[in-house]
Amino acid sequence: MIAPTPEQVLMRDSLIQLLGDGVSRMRGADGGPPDRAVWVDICEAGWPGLLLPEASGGWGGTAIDMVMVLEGAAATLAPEPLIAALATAPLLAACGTEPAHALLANMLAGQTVVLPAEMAISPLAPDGGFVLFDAPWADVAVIGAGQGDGFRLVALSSAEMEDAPLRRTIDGGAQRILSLAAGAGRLLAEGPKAAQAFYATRDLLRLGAAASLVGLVARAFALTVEYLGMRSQFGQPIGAFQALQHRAASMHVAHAAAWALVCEAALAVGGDKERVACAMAKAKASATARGVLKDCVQMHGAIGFSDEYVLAPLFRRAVTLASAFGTPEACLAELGCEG
Amino acid sequence: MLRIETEAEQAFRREVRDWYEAELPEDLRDLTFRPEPAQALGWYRRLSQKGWIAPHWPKAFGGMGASPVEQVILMEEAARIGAPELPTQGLNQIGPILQRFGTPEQQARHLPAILNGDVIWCQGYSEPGSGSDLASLRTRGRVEGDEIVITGHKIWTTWGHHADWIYALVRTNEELPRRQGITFILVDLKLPGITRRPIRTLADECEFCEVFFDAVRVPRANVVGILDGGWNIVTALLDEERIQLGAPSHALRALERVRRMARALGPVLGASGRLRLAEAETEVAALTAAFLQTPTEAEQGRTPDASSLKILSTETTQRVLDIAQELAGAAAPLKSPASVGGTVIDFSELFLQSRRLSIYGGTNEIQRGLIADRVLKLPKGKRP
Repeated sequence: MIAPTPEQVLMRDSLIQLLGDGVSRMRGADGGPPDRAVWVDICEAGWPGLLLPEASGGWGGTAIDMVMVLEGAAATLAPEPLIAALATAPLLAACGTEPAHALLANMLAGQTVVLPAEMAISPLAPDGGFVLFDAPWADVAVIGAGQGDGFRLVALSSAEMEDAPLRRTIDGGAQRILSLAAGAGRLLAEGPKAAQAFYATRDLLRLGAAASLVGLVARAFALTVEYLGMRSQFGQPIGAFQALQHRAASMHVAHAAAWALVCEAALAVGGDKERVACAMAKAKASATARGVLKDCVQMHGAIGFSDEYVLAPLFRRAVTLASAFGTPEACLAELGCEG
Repeated sequence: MLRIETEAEQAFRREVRDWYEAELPEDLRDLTFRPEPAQALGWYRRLSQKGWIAPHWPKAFGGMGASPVEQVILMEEAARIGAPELPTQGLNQIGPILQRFGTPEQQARHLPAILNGDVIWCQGYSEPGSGSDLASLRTRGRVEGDEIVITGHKIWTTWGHHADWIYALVRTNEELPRRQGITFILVDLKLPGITRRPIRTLADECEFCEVFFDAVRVPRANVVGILDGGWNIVTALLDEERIQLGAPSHALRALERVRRMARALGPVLGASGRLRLAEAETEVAALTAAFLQTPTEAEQGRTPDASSLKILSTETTQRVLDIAQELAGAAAPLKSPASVGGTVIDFSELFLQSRRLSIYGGTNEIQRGLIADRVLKLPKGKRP
């Protein structure tokens, strides 16, 4: 397994400190406008520029930096849309147009929250729609549509999103399904080059979500191992029972495999296999999170089903994130077509 | 392998691919079984002459000293062309043991013979009453002057009937606690008193055998390490062995079967079949990633999690072959491979053979117990 460098540990820890205990902010969310105080701090510290070149006012970080930081920060359960911000900044920078440039400046300053909406399958939009996660945060939604020369990257303002119903998600956030009427929104960029930048950002979203999912798995599993050693029944710690030991070992192996794949995918960013690698990482991390988190709840018994214990928000965040930025099923389906 | 390869790594991959295409005999490609020594040794020696037979051995002992990336390139290219599986007991087991614990004389005698393919080795650990509980073994080694006289019964000895030498664990001291009375010894299988009986497997081939020792006199100089000190040698090397058991070579071979089956099915594969293929690709990519990242962990002074790698590798291979069975449809139980559209497809053989993966090298249940104990540090259960 790839361990973080000392610099990455410093970065990760400073972010974790900045985010603090996200659970209280998470529970406060009721679908209404979120409190932006922590988000402004995050932007003032420069985090949305992690992946931007230094020439563009960023930190010149790599995909490996991103996964190390997001894996560590996930357990804070902070509701701020960090994954989306990290992945969207390079897209706006790559557009090379005045509106995109202005949007990026506002985003980095913490004044405007720009979130990507992605085409996704939903029974609520059988004819197709663009799903916007963390919708209450979005001042602007970025949508890419069309192919090749016909590709257009447009920005919708919050006023243009209002008609789409806001639906709460189980992690305390909310989503909207946006549609893109002809001529709607403000054009940020078009053509094949813009499409390429858009797909690169989609890869980063998947990779970032995958790293966060592995971080959630790590936290939930650590809690479970601790509980197995602490909880006594039938006169001994339940962690001494072989049935639970072997399940715990399987969960450990699943976590290790998912984390290895996420790190490997980060090493593929910028190469020929970037698209495949990020789709694989997202599919694997999502499936692992769904599987391991369920076992964590089961192995805790009734306390695992209680909302008063931290496992509950970890579980709900993992389930939500598994379906965000490319469902595992969609990622695998894409791979099957290319393979 | 997903990561971006350096120019040197790309060049190495091209070299390996071209060389395999030029050198690997047609009749050794796409075999579903491990060919017997008579058939495979020519290829073994060809690889040896090329210097590629022992990628993971240090250069000092005649290996390649290859990086994990180079090792994976060799495995991927071997799977791609359908190169045969070769005997590994010498390369992966006794070779590394002798490198670490052998005397200079033992190293000089045995290591070159392993590299050259002159001597095939087998492993004498399991006995009829001693499988997972290996320390209960009862094959006796009585010290008589400069000799150890061995009497007993080893079983499930992979390729025992094809091997020239066996490395075995024998009990040399009945007085000591059971793990402290065991000696690690090298035995020439041509010695008088040795009988071998092949055993047919679930996959309908003679993969392993029984080895009977009837007062076999072995020079004491063949003891590796010290007398009664064999258990330490086995446990010290288990982790390194399991890392090799954790290599993605089997899984890559299995994945190649699934890819060929998917290509042969064409449009009939359908959406669900494509999902299965994508799942197989993803699982093997994760295993390869874990294998590539293992030495990094060791380099940084942390214990490599070899049990996890062994479980991941063997169960990934089995999962991929389950998928192969699903995609095969009505052809799933066909005994022999068939040629379809210029490509050879194996339907059942590898699937049957893969049952052994989660049994050998310490069953996966034993590995899970080790993870619970050593990695997760869960409370001790009521175990001996």
